Amino acid sequence: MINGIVLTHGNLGGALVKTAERIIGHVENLSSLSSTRMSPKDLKKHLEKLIRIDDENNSEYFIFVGLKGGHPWHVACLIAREYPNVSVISGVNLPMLLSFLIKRESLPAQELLQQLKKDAYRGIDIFVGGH
Amino acid sequence: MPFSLVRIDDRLIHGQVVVGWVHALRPDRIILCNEEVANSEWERDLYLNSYVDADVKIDVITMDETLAYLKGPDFEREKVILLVESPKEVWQLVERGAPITEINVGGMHYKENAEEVLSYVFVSEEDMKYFNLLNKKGIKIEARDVPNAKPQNLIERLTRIGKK
Repeated sequence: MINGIVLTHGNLGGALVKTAERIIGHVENLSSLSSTRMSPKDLKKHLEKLIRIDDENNSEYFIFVGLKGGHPWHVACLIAREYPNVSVISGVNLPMLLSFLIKRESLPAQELLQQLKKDAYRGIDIFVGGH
Repeated sequence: MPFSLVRIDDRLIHGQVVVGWVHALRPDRIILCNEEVANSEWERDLYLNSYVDADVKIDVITMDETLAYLKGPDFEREKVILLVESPKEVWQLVERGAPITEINVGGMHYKENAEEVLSYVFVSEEDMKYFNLLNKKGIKIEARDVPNAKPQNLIERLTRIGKK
């Protein structure tokens, strides 16, 4: 099973995980980490700790971040460069996270990443008032 | 043109800078002056490619290259945000003639043997040395993470906790 880490500023990641669990129930192998008050070095250390826990299984990891170009994005990309079993995806939203939890056992990692991008986008729509 | 902002931030370019400060100051260019990043092609490209949609030029360059830019014609007409990792680099730039009169401290996060001054500012003995040198030069040092936060006089705060 592919592991997910939601890495954001403040409590956003924790709240997204909790909200996703309210919708589909408790899930395994999904954690959140806040970058607030952490230097890039500290953040990298924390992430490595999370990833190395099951180094032996060589499990896949997806790191979800909010903002492309933000501090979590940069640190996650540094990690992904060092660890080939780690991928990074930005613009995390609830549809993306739910799609990940539902599809992560049925799709290979690379395909799943593309699917998440589509599903995150599909979840964005507009309903104009009065129509 | 005088700098729009000279900022110390150990996260270098990131959301607060590109979303917050760029929106508030509308600079023409962001210069990330960092030897390590400028000399790593991969890391440099990561910074350059992460903001392709931002309406601002971004340079990831060394200190020598930064100083060369400051002497050139572009600096005279451009509004520039300069980003460095620590007060030591600001001092090195000042010593080599960079026209810096004010510094914004936006992020110096937790590290060992550093004193917490603000939730996002931890100052080591070495940092202190450079802040003092900059202060003696008459350079104004404020701490402020985002543009609409209240600026804090960092030297006053350091004095208050007895580190000066």
